[in-house]
Amino acid sequence: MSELSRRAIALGGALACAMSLAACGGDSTPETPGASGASPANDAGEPITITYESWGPTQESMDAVIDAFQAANPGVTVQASLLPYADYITALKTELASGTGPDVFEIQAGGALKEFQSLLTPVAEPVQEILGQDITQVYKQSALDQVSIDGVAYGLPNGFSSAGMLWVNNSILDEQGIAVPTSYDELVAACKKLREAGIVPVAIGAKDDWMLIDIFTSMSNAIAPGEQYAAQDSGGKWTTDGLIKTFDAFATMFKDGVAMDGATGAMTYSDTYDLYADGKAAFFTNGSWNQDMYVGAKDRIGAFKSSVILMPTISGAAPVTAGIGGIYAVNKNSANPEAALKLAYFMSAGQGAQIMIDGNLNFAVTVADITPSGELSEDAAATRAELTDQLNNNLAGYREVPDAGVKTALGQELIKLAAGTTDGKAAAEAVQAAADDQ
Amino acid sequence: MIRRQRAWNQSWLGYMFVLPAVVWFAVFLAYPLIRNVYISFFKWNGLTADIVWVGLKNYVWAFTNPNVLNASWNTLVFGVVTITLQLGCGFLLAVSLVGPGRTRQILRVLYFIPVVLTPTVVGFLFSQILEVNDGELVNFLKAVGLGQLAHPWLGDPKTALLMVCLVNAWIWTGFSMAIYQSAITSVPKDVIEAARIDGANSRQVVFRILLPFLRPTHWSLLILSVIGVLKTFDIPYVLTRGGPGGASDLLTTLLFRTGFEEYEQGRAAMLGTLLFVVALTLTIIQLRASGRDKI
Repeated sequence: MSELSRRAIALGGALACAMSLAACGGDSTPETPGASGASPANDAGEPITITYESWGPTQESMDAVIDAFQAANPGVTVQASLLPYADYITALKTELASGTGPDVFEIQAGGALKEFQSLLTPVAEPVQEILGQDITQVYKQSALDQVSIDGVAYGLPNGFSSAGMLWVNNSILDEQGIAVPTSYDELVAACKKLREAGIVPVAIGAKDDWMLIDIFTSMSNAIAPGEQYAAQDSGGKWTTDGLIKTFDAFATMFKDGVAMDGATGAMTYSDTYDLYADGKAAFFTNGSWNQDMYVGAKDRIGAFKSSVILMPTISGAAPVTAGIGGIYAVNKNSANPEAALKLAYFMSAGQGAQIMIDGNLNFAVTVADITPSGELSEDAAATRAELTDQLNNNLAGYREVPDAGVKTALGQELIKLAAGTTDGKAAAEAVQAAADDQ
Repeated sequence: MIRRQRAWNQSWLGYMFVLPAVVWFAVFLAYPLIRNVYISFFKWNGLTADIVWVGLKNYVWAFTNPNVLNASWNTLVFGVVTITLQLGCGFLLAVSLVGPGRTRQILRVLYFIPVVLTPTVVGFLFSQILEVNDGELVNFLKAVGLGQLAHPWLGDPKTALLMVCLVNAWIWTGFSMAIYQSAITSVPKDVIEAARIDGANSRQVVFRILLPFLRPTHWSLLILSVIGVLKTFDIPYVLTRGGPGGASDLLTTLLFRTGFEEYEQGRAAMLGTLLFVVALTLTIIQLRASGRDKI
């Protein structure tokens, strides 16, 4: 190689390296792009693009929401990205930590709200200024409480849901000559008979530990009312006799063969959703959001008769817990905060909320009730009536664990109980240790 | 002064040649590593600017927390089982598939296919196969009248880690096989012929000639495998998410859970630092041992 070409290669390498570093160094132009990377909005009404990321709603509902929002807001384009929850939250954390992220995104109430708080735009004032709405008049107070920290709302609530119930495939029970169980002993007997017939008893996707937490919270409200909330909110302990009894009752449910085999292994929420929707499971632990089956999987769930009951426990039927489905948050670094806020409100309380409730049959978070506009099947209508009744008359409390570390520890201990590798006392002590660690 | 100027004139080109590599190393390796160690001394949720100095608290946590100790033990078991399987089976496959022939060629390709598959896809595939209610394996067992053998392999704490080991070994055995095959071709044929003339049978040729001759290959594969084991995340995460109840939790899955579910980035960084130190130590030990062991 000649001296000249060697020098050319060396200089080229150094130049390429310098250029790549410059590329890593960020934008040096005066007008930096917004959080979405879109053109910033300006007063001249130039087209803008805002981004939305979440784990929901379904792509079909999302497309309808986008069409309606864009029609109502000419010049604004919405780019949406939907991912399964675990993948979504990982991607979102990475994006936000690097100072970017979507203009509007959804987070869960509870622990996640605390962690994301400083990245979110407080919404009460801008909703008043931009949309002329007083959020305290628009939303139910219980919904506002779940999007607020110290009285400041950091997002707008999405759909109200109740959790901790048992969905029933009545057709399977009828075929097997089994009555819908009204007590824990009847549930155990029914599951035994179902197993003998080779039918999946209660479908639980325990790989997603939130399913177990929902069941546990409902059970604790039946067995030790108020004690879990005391441990979560007001300095109470997880190691009370009542909560240890709840942990033990939870483990017994798995020992008694109520839950499907392998619940703690490969089964996720989606797997069990499909098992139930395909008519392969007699029961399914899930919340009111499962009503979306009557829209999204109506052909499958229409093939059998379905209903919903309260979860039978050793202390009687468990009351329901309830919470908002999520929080529509506006990125503090959004370059288009006005359009972003409009989208969040549109999905939370506007026409978008109606579209989503038509798609998932969920309950409204607004004072003015939003109900499904389409005609419901007989099963869907009866189920919705039962769920509404339980929400109005048998609500024990909220369904989220406020602290992320405690939530993870609780989920892990419940999986261990389900797998039979720990007992109630040890589980309670482990969760208490996590609470002490915070 | 003149001498220094002359030296620079003679050597600047050399510096220019290594500059891209040095910058790349500094930006993409050294800085993240130092930054990771730095973060491990703080309490931070990984999102906001609120970052609190906690000194060695995260390190104390790691050495006293039962979840970390459990994940460390599982990582050790996972490493021993999976490396033994993938090196042992890879060597035996390589030996048995040496030589010409269409069948051997097809088998070599088949055994290598898992290596080029995305581990996440393999994880989902085996999740479906091993599912106990409606999985392919259970359905097959039921079809041949062996339904009583159905077992929640991924849902039983006694078998979950073993399943993760087997699936991981299934993926990487083809890689070991390919490396061994390549190495076997370099073994002098006259040595093997001499052994044959001396009356060695096939088993003796494999275990007394080939096995010792391939010692550098064993070391190379061992180093690569140990580093691979310490980095393994996708297969256990997709198959079991470290469960049930931590039964198949590795340090990597625990790191992910700590950082992304518990929002404890300082502790996650501490686990990352721990993994780095372990990987570095093991690699140095192995390199020194392999250097002493050259034939």
